[in-house]
Amino acid sequence: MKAIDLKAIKIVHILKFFTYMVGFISFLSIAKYVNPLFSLAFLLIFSASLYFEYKNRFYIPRWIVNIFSLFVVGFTLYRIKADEFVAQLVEALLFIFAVKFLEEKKTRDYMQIYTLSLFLLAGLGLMSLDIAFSVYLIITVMILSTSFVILTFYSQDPDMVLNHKIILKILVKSLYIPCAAIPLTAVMFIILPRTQYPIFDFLNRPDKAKTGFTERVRLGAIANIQEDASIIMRVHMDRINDEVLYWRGIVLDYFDGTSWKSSKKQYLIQNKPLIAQGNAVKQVIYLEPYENRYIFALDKPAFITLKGIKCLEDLTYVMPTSIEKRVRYEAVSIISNVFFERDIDKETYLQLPENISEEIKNLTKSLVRGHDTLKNIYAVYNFFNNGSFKYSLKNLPFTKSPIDDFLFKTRYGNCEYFASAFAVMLRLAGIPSRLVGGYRGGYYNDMGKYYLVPQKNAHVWVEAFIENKGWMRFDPTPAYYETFGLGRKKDIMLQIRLIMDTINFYWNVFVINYNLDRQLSILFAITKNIKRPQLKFNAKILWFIKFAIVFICIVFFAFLTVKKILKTQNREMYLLLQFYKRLSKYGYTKRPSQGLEEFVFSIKDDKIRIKAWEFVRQFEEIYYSDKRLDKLGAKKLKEVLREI
Amino acid sequence: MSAINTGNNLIYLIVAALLSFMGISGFFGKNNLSGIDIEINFPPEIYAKGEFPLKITLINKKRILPVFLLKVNINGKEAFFPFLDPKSSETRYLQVFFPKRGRYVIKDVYIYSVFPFNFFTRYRSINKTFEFIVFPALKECSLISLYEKNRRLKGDRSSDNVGYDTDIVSIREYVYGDPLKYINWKATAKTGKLKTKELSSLMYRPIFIDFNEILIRDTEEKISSIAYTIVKLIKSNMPVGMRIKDRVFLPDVSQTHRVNILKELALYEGN
Repeated sequence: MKAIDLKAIKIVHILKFFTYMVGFISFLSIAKYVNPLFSLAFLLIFSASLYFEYKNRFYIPRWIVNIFSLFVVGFTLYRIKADEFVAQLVEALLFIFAVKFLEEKKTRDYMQIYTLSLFLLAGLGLMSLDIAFSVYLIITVMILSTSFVILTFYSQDPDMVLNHKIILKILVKSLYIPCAAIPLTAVMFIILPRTQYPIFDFLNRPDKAKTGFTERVRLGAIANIQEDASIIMRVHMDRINDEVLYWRGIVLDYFDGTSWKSSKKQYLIQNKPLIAQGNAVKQVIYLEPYENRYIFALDKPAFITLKGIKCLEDLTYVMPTSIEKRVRYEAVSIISNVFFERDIDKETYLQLPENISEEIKNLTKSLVRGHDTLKNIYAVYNFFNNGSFKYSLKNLPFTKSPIDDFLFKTRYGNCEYFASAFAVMLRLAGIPSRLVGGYRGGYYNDMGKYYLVPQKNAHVWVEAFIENKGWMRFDPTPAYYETFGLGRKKDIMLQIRLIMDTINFYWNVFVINYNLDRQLSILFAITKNIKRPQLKFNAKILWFIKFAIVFICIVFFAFLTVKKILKTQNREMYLLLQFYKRLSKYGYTKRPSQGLEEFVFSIKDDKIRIKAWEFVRQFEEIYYSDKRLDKLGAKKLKEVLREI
Repeated sequence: MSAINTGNNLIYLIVAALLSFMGISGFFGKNNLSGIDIEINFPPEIYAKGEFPLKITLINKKRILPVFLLKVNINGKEAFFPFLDPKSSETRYLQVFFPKRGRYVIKDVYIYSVFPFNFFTRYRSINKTFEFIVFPALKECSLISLYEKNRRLKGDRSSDNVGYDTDIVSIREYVYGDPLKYINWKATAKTGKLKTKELSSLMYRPIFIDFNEILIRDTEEKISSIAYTIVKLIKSNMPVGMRIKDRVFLPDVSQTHRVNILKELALYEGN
């Protein structure tokens, strides 16, 4: 008979609690990526079903729910667009998911809800590469596995009622499953077979492209980039001198008076190596998606390993299409501010807009004297660095003649103005020159050993051509290190941001960018390490090993024997067993039903019987007198035993 | 497998999680059925055509993990154990019906569970056999009156046991509490001490049933009738003996005697 248990809980209540948790977590995970209307609809339906569940126990009939779901699927198919395929699919799923909560749920309905939540999680994985995914994955795995266990209980008996203590135990013990599964997931992730050519790659939604360098730079138009603190790339490398941190991206050579653009260039011929002197620095770069196809690397990139990449004659690297997903590549750069080139198309690099003002020409003439190219360049360079020009991002002269306004009116501007004016003046002086766009500086994250390069570090500098020397880098923009950093080092928020960024960095390195190549390299590393070591011993050691093995075997068997003896618990039993053993040698075995004396009388051989009788008599004398068999008695018995 | 096709590592993560879940759940499911022992206890007397409770004890010998949602199947009947702590045991009763008398052997004791996820059921058989004997069904019959009549004709027989029936067996010292009417006044007067008579008790004449001589054509009915008669007679303290095939049970009224006869009847096989 069962007493009424006040703390008994219906298993179905626990199940519903966890199922609604699954619903809410799934919604939270993707809420950011779906249309707010869908989020609102989900929340409404979800709370309505919660209300119905606990107040009225009212459920929408299944056929209505099904028709509703069909309608949603039809609507989704109707409005589907290739570029937002996944998001629309997830929105439809979210709606069906919500509606599913409205109906009366049986075991399979709960299963459907859990399956849908997994699909939503997969949708999140397709829409976001954020580390938040891993958090949702772990939470979902935890709750789903508990829900599944509870559902299993429910499926056995929907009316099951259990004591709250037992329910707590079930919940705790069922957590063992995800706890064991999560490490295994990591292993599985590493060993799951990958393909080199994903078929349904289009499902991966392109990341939101950031504005960045374009092939046309309008003076004063892109200053807003320089206030964007988001990260354009992370570069895994050793720390180097800040002054050489120029991330080369694009070369602009055509100026029309208000904007610079890049003219058509040929791909670099393969047999034309980079000639530059300096240290080679290897970088592993994680470039965020942006609107162009130029690939960045530390200035004077010697080569970049990325499938499909091409090097242009102006030492820039491009991809066939714009960078829509985060890419990882390795680059080797020669740290030098000059690289050699013999013949250049001077016409291209001396091009000037027709409406160059006389003022600029006069200014240039006043600065440039003599024929020493380098001296002339420095003369112009010093003009910008004599303190009369200021760096500014605000109220930039966005006019039809921006360079004139910069040089003679405002005298402040950002790097584009400095570089443009500098390059124009060099060209006026007959020195071939061009603008190089990229990034300057970066914040070194000591924890993750990588440079963080934010968008606002976008920078333009100038390369001037000097005969017999090649292209030389000049940066006329006044030094403004403060603007290249992320802020003060002591700032707690900055520290937290850096920690988060480090975690995110490794998430990208180990999870997002894990691919067939890395899988193979891990495989090779393992097979290399488990190669059988060459064992060579001299005779002495070999003899010792043999001896050790024999010794261990002997000890082991001795241990087993002792254990067996201990099992017999005491000397009496041991002696008795010896007695049986000895007699069985003569062919007498005691049947279980036989008493000891009975057994001895059944021995036919007189001699043996007499001796055996002697043993049994002495044995019984001790055994039945409630005395422990002492050593002396045992010795005596053994002697008798030996005589048998 | 969408993961392989899209090359998205996060989908890979989900697939990896699902695969490892399958593996781990397999392990947990297998573990759930291991380290388990089952004891079955039978009531001392089971009669055919009646329902009897089998006492089933589930013992979880595991150290850490409990037993979840275990069902024990014994000859098609199930006992359900939702949860059992490690290193503990729990008991359930199964009502079992036995249609026929005879020796029963339970070999097929299966335990099974859908734990941890309700995807498939995992079975394991317990390597244990349980043997027991089901006594014949008791069938009410008129045999008893026949024997009764026979016995009455012969009359009772005085036994050597002391009782309160007829003949004086001896005279002894009065013990406090002896009824007054049993005081032997004559002897008391002679000796000057209170004396009590001891009387013999009467014993029923033993009844002897010869299996072969009872004329009921249907063997099962015959066995059931005899079993009923014997149980009934022993209950009213009448010694009963029986001859069946070559075996003879001398009349007795003891419990073991009754069980022995019922066993013999249960295992009787015609010709």
